[in-house]
Amino acid sequence: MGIELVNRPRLFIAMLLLWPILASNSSAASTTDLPVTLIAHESVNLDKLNTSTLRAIFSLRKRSWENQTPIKVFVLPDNHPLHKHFCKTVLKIYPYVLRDQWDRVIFSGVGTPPTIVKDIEELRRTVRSTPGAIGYAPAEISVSIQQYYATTPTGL
Amino acid sequence: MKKFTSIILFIFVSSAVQALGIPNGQIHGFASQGYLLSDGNNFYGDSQRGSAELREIGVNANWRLNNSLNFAGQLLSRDAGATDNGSLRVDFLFADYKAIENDVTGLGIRVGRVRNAYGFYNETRDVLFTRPGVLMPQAIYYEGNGLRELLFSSDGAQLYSYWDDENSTTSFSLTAGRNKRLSKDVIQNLLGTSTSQIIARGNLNHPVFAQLSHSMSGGRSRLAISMYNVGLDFDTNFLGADGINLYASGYVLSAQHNLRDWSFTAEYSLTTIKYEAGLLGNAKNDIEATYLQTEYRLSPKISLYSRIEYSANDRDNRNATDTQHLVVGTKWSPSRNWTIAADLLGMRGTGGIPDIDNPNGTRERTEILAVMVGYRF
Repeated sequence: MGIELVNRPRLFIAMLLLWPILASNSSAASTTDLPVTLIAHESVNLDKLNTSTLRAIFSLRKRSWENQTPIKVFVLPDNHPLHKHFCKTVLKIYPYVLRDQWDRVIFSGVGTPPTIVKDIEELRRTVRSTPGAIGYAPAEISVSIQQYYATTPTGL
Repeated sequence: MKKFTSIILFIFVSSAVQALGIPNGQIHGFASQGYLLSDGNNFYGDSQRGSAELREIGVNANWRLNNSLNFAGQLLSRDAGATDNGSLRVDFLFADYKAIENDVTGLGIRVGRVRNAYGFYNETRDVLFTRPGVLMPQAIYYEGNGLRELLFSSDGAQLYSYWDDENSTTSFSLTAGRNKRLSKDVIQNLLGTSTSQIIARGNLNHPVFAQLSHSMSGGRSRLAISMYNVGLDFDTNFLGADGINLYASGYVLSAQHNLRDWSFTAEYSLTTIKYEAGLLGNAKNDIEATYLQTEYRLSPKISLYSRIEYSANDRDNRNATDTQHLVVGTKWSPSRNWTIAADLLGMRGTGGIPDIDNPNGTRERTEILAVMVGYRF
């Protein structure tokens, strides 16, 4: 190929430095301003959850609720605006960092990966019908449905 | 074309498996095919003429029996030039018993074939979607020279624990493996083609791996120290001759900082190898390796990365044994299931160059273009 990169350190260093800068753009994040709230199966008490516990649940470290029901995490696809919004405002984790954590779990077998459902409606339905389930929904939808024990966690 | 049949078959089978699902469990998998073009040396197959001998296919399942008992396993086939032959093997298979769990801590044990915690990437090193680019950092992860087989898994027990603080998590794992016989391929990778011909058998003895890691702000910053200790002994074909004993121990320091668009990762390792070869005498050398990697996310689908790697096979004789790699690359994930990555590598030195892909000897400089397409479900 004749591309003797190592022979030309200055060229290479220039490439290293300039590539990301040349490629950068304003990349305005397309987040929604929708308030997001946690939803869970009626068997689950969301009252006492703080950011740290929520991170342990959504990072798949914590596996069961206090009443010994197994935790089942349901989420929307990575690129769904509500998922991104939930990661940033509730978990305070970049979505790609959470994805990296999940992929480490999936491909090393050290936990139960979250179940991805296709839209908000399916997420609500699945969480309502699955004991131990936790997920999220736009705030105005969840408060209008009485079956949910929906709340905004304290300390966020 | 036969090579690609397995990938096509995999994609068909995977869609069927996905539809099936298992109660209280999940099935996942990945398949990736690489193409390498190099100048100077071969890297995975006859890459100086263009090689497609880099392929990884894996399927895994996890199943939750109850609150505290999980099972997980993964089958893997990996082809990597002369260093790996694509045969199907059990990558990991273990029972995971979580004995203690409350709001701030957890403690458990995994028994079976478990992945060793070593640096940031060892546990998922064969999955294109989880590693930085097409090729793993050759410094630290030793892809080309046979140590990878000793690093990636242990048949034994793994104790794990974590402690959650208000804004951070500290994790610990300790893995103790049982002794096992080394395959001919591993011996050939480790000792080279000519030396391996005088070896009748080799064993891995008492592998121990430990990792302590600390993650802040939900993974925004991560720090880890990994340590390991393994023994190897080889019997030669010569009657009455002493065997060769080899002890490898070392540590890896790892650090990562994640910003919205940027990620910075650095790892440093020091490995001490002691040889005891009877009448041939004893020797000891320190292998030092480090890399610094920058990643920039242009969008959620496209990232660009660059990496500088340095390694010295003998720290006391750096000038004669050091290797430098410069890597730039890009990853494009058009959908959740697909990723395409391309790396351009410039190498000076022969660290990480697989000897057995270069039977006529290695040269000082190598340039590689590596492209890989990956599918996951």
